[in-house]
Amino acid sequence: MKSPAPSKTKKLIKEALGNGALRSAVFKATESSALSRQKIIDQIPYWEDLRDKAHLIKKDVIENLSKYLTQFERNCELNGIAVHWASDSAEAQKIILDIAKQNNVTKVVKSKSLTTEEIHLNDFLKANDIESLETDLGEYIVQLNDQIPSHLIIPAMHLSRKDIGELFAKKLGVEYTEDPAQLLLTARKILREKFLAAEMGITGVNFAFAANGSFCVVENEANAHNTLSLPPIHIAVMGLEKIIPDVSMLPYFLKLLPANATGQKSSTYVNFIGGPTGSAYGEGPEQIHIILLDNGRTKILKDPVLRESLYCIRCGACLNACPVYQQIGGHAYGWVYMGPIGSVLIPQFLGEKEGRLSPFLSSLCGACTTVCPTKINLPHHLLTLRSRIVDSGNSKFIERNAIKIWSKLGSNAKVYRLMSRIASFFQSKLFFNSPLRVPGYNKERQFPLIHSEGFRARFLKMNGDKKNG
Amino acid sequence: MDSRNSILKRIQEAGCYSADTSEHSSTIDLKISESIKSITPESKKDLWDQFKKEIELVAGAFYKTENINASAEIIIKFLTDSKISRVGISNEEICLKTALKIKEIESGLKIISPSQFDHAERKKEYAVTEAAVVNPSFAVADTGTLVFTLKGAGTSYPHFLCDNIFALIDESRIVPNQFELFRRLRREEMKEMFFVTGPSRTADIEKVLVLGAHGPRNLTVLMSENIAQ
Amino acid sequence: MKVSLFIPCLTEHFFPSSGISMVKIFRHLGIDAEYIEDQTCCGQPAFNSGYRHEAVPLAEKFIRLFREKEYIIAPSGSCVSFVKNNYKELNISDELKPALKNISDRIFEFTEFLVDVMKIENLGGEFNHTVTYHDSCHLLRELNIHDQPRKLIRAIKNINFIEMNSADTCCGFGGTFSYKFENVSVAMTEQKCKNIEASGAEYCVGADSSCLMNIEGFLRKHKMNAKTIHIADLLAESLKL
Repeated sequence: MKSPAPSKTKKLIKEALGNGALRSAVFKATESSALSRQKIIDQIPYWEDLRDKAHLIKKDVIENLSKYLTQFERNCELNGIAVHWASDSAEAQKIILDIAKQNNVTKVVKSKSLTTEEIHLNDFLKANDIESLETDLGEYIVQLNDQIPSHLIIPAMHLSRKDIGELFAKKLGVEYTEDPAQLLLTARKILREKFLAAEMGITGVNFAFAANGSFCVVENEANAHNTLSLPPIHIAVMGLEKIIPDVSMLPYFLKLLPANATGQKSSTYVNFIGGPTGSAYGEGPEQIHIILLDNGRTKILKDPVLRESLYCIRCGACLNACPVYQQIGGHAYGWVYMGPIGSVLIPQFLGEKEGRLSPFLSSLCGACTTVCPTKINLPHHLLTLRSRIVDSGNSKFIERNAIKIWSKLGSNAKVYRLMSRIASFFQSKLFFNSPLRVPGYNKERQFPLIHSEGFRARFLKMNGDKKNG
Repeated sequence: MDSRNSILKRIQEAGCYSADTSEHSSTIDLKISESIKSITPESKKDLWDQFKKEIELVAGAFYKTENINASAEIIIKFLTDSKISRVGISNEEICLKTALKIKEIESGLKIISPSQFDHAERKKEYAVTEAAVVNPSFAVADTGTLVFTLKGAGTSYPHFLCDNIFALIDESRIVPNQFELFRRLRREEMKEMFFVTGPSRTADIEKVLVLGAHGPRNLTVLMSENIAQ
Repeated sequence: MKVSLFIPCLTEHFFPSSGISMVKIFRHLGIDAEYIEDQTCCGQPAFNSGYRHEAVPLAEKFIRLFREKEYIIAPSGSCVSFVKNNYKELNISDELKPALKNISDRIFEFTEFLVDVMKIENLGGEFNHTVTYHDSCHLLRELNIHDQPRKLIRAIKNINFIEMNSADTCCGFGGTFSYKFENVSVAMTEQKCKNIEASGAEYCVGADSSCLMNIEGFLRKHKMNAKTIHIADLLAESLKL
């Protein structure tokens, strides 16, 4: 199962909820991530100001996107970085394949990039006889397991060490161990060779700097640095929204991102790339290509409010904070972006029909928005998308009509109370005053009894008593 | 129409507006800088104490040494104890000086410097070298971060391919935080550099922290008052 | 002083006692509580399910009924927050828009009103049980009500108040979410109920009937020991009203 559709989310949820190991792995990991995040934030008294600032920077970028993109393009070219524009997955895939073919590339190493997951790059390269190997440990594991990441930051969050031990034993022919250090060592040995032999390295971009024509990749494992420094060709794939005006604005984000993503004060490595064969000794790639990917982002831009969803820096904090994600993990959302931000992006990227369930997969508790580093109002956008799905005719016929009728009746207080009295009557006569059975609700929860009088009647009685007394 | 123009056209058609957020933005900046000021140590010594605390929190080691000779001795002790016979260096003068000092004492050691090899050979050599001596341009106190500019280092292979990193740094090179760092860096330097905060790590398996992912396992910072002497 | 009661659907039909308790407390404090008989639902279920047009007549009706009121008080944070924060998203008629501002400024959740407006933290009651408090999401995150109910609870004589783990995590109700994704909702409720049990509390106090209905439903179905109680009921009981 590679990239299941979000319209199948109900089936995927059922599978996830039935998988006790997955649930406990996800619950523990999200809880510990949230805790370590809080520990760091407690040491940053200006945390809320940072969020305000990041919001404003992103707002400026998104509202002036063409200005910053063209500025970035010009400055990249001055630095010797080739800039490519891709409207969709197919175009991005073709650009990468063309570069690979021109340079006789058969072996590619990749560092974690959700944007490349979005364009199904690994499968595409494989289909074109190019080995494309993930090098981030978590990504390496999920690739080996023929899956996509289930979390923006911790790709193999859904797997236990036991699962991973068995996977390595089966796929790599090593002796079974569930010691994370030993498992890492196995991956490290294999990948060290791959880094040195690869003809092309593909990375994502965390932040691109318009005024500088350069960009950065943030990581902990050193795999990204190896990917972008060892092979002779480096391709970086970035969504249009990844830009910020100037590299000097980075410190705000370099506080927000690691705290939110991994509960660190600083990520272990921040790699800045500003041109090929940079040093006096001719080190680093001979070619650097950057692909600016639209793939639906300009569609998102059309809505003046929802375009805020492009402020996302993919830190994953909203996933860890989300009680829904905590229960079902990432794969149940059915796409590369999951959790609250995934539920907001899915219908915008994939359309209201395919994404008709996603914005509803939320209790609207709002925990996500309180942790978002760029203050994206996620519950608000979920609500807006719900109405968009209804307005585009993608809600259920029965529901639509039930709500229409209810709204009509509910406008009249007398009718409104009468409905309750009728239900109460049925409850007493047909169910002998046991709670009504409400399909879809009371499998595990008892439904409350409809009160025999209701508030109004009791209040009037009470008021009568008071007046009389 | 090519993709570039069609993307730009779609952005134009989306009807964004040029929001002027500068005023609000500078108010926030003021708040941030005041808050930072209130928690930032003033003296160099306190900044280094903060740096030490932070780098130790991320599994790095920190020593203050008298001079290069003292640093060299610490490195030699580690190399002999770990039976390491090859030491990589980056391109800064101080690294070469220290390497010569090390070789003077332990003549059996092999020094790998970037200028010895062409590009293709160089990565292979560093990949089989277990220790490296490097020289960061700055140390950032509030996160325990080392800053390397590629222009200065000439290479990043030793920093990432060798398992045990010794970073030599002069006492003067401390900055309180990244905001200050970016004020100190030259525009040209900002393009190609890398920040290092501790040895490489992963917590991808059940959130268990393991050091030495695809890069170094150990990082030792050796700070001297006057490194050039 | 006079307050106008905003009685949400669940209070009207299922849990009238929490509304009545609120009235009793107001009377105890010498506050006159009026009830507009023509009120119905605020429209939140329709809005949250994506049916904005259907929510409009309900919102307009609400605004017309409450536009002149000095204080509008409800025993539910969710409904208050909806009126306060989301009515502006609706396409309501222009003539009602100015009134909306007035309503937004004058609508309060019950504990918020007592503590922030009336400046009352100690009602002087007594309750000999161990309780914990569940933060309802909209109360906490949309109205910033965290300390107010805790202050009122802690002030009760002989009460043993314990914070449970993850008191601020959603109970899983989420309105129509609870039946659209029943299994996810239940999994969340189960987690919440486990935390309540683990705290050792006899009662889980809440300020929103919807969460309490959901939690209570799970507790009873699974024959767990803890019970839920609305904060208005708790306060009224502690005062023996």
